[in-house]
Amino acid sequence: MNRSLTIQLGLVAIVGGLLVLILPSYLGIDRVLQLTLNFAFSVLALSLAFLWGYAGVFSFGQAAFFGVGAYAYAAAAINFGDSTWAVPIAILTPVLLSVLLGYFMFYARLTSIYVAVITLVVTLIIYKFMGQTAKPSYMIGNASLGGYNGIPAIPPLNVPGRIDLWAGPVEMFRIAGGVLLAVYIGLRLLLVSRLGRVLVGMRENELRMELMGFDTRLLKVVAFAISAAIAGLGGVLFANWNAFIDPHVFNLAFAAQPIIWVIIGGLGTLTGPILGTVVLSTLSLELGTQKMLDVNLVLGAIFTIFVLLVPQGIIPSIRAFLENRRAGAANKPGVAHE
Amino acid sequence: MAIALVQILNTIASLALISVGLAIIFGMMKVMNFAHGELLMLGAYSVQTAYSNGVNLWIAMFVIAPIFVGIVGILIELLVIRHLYGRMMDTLLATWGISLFITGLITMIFGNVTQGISTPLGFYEIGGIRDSAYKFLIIGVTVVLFAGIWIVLKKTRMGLIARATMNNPGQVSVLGVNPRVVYTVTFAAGAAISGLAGAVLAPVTGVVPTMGAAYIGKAFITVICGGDAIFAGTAIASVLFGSINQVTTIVSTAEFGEVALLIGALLMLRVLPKGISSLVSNRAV
Amino acid sequence: MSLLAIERLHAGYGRIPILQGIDMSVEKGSFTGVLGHNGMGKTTLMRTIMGQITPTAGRIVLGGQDITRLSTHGRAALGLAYVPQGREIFSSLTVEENLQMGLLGKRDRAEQRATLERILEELPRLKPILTRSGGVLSGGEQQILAIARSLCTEPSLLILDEPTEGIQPSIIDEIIDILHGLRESRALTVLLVEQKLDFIEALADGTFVIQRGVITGTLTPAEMSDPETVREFVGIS
Repeated sequence: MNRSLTIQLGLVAIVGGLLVLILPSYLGIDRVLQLTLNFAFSVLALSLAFLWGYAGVFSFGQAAFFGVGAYAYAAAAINFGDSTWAVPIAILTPVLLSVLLGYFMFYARLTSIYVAVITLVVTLIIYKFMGQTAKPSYMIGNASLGGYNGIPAIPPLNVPGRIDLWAGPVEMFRIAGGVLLAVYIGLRLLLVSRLGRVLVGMRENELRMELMGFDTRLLKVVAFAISAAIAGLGGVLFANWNAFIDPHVFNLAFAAQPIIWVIIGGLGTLTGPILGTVVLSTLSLELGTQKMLDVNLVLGAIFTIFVLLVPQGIIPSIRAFLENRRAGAANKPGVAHE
Repeated sequence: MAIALVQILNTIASLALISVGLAIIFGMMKVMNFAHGELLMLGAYSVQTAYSNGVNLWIAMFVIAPIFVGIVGILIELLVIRHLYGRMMDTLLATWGISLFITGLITMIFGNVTQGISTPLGFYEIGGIRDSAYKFLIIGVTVVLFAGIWIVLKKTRMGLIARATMNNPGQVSVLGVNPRVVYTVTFAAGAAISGLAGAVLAPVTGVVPTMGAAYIGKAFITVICGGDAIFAGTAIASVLFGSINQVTTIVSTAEFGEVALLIGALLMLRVLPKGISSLVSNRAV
Repeated sequence: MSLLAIERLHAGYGRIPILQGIDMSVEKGSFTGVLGHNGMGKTTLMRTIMGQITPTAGRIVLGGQDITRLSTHGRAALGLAYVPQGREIFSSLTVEENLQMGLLGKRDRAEQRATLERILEELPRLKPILTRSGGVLSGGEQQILAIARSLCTEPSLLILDEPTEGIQPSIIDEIIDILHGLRESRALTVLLVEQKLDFIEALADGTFVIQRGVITGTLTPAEMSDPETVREFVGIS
């Protein structure tokens, strides 16, 4: 691993870590809660940013893994009364789902539009199914699934083995922020590893990778599983944020969110989608407080105009702009130029 | 038993109605129009608004709704879609943006309340069980609409140009036809038909700004499973999935019916990735 | 009198330049050939003339009118017709429907029918297969269909891009006869692009040689039948 990357990631870890530790003291509780939610959503966005932007697999199902992670955490935490095993279960459950679904899709060599549709359909299936789990017979152990009403009073994360030491809003902020940093750094490291480079190679030219002897079907399942784990982890954070989960995370509107965050932030980057998530979530919130214009109206107009004018997304556009300025400087008279 | 048959036919017809407008647009331009649900919704609002202002229900339903939504379709195509030809992801996001925009606009104008049109045509009775006779209208409209689409595609000049453009757009322009005009007209037709569908189904579903979301999953999956052939693919897919949906609903609950439809579609796609159209002759429309 | 004039034409795909300054003209009523290997720019030139590729520099003039910025369908309306490499007929349409696509410009049914009958007289091979689907035709039948479809538009300039590629020799002879016949019966100008010397030799009045995106010379019919000259000039035997 090269030095510049080490320095970069080290800086991210230190600065990010510091911010996460000290910010709650300076921000009001509203802001803290809002940022915690943004962190959870950013983790979800990163799962798609990785899967789509780097491995080249477009999935409509990241919200499904997110939701399954949240539900799995809720059911496990309620049953155990302790979050220690709930977290790994919450991550493993979406991974299992992704392996099953991934095998079904990628081993049939379905093209990307069908993967998109199938992941969407599976998400909607889960939505419909969870929506009608209101009957008392739908229980996982002691946890009632609750249908459209969802599962309330989800036990918070606690220090392993110490139920009395549980996370309040400030602790959740730090945990969520820490998780986001860890996922970001982890993905950056993954992407320079052999697996990461193979996945990027697959995105760039699948046939070439096949001819070089890689099994791209397996690679896609692996990428899918990694993204499911990340999304599931985001789901855990989300379940803790409000101590509540309901099926709306499986509906079409929410399933589209990660895609929008990634597109607006910039496909093919990791920081872009995080930025996209924060900007859009904040925008939605601010718009929600004013009464003049409907939130959907403004957001819809922004997306449409955005696509028409800034097709690559925020981060890549900024990068391109900066590169053009640098190139412009190189074209000044007196500067040697091929 | 007979009532069950009518219900199955009704579910098939409803599914076909909400899907065929999207199928036309997808078949011609390979565009997955995320604003499709909103086109259906605008059709419902057209008939609702016109009717509550004294216009005859049938005129509102069969004339005003399609024309209005067709015009909206032309606007969407000219202002947005045509700048994004060939860019599938961008079109997805842009049409999603349009979907939000229209939903927001209608919410601002009409408020987030459900309005209704009392279902016309009363009831019919078989074997002591009463059911809404409106179902026959839905079935009838669907049959007439599909027959019309088949006739236009196979027997008219416009249909010939449409089929040629779907097959080879580059060659169509070499023969003197402007493909952009073809695309605009096609999008408008798909929109108008969706408006009609939304209007016809309005008395059954109720009219609320967010109603589009309920349709879009089913419509998408029916169109994808139908494949390239607009008429044959959509028709067969609707029969298949409509039956699965309704039979499951009768046997258990409506929610399970939806789940069964989606699972059925999933399995079908695994077996026939190119959709049902890959099974029919290449001459089928 | 020149029907088509091309001046200093530059065109390519994205950043890859293919045509590096083409200068040539096609006389009205002539059969003009363009000869060159694969990759020399023949098809790029034809597609640029048709408007499928936008030139980066230069001019295209048809019948005195500058068409450099005109759309493809606009050029078709001015009497330009194009039978591309690979035929590109409508595979999901019948033979008759393919021809009807060529007849769209006719004013009414009577004119359409009259034109169709005339074309079928000139290319009788299509008569028995009118209801057959385009996708199941043989390569030769597709080629004849493609030519017939273009003729339905009653063009002033017909561009044929490698019409003999992948076609059996008997059909090639048939096409040569058809084109000779057409030359006599109508005022048709033909621009013929080929790799194969003998096809051009049988038809062209004069041939341009294209190499690496520029016209490097011309060949008269006499020069073409001299293998020595050809081998030296073009490197194709």
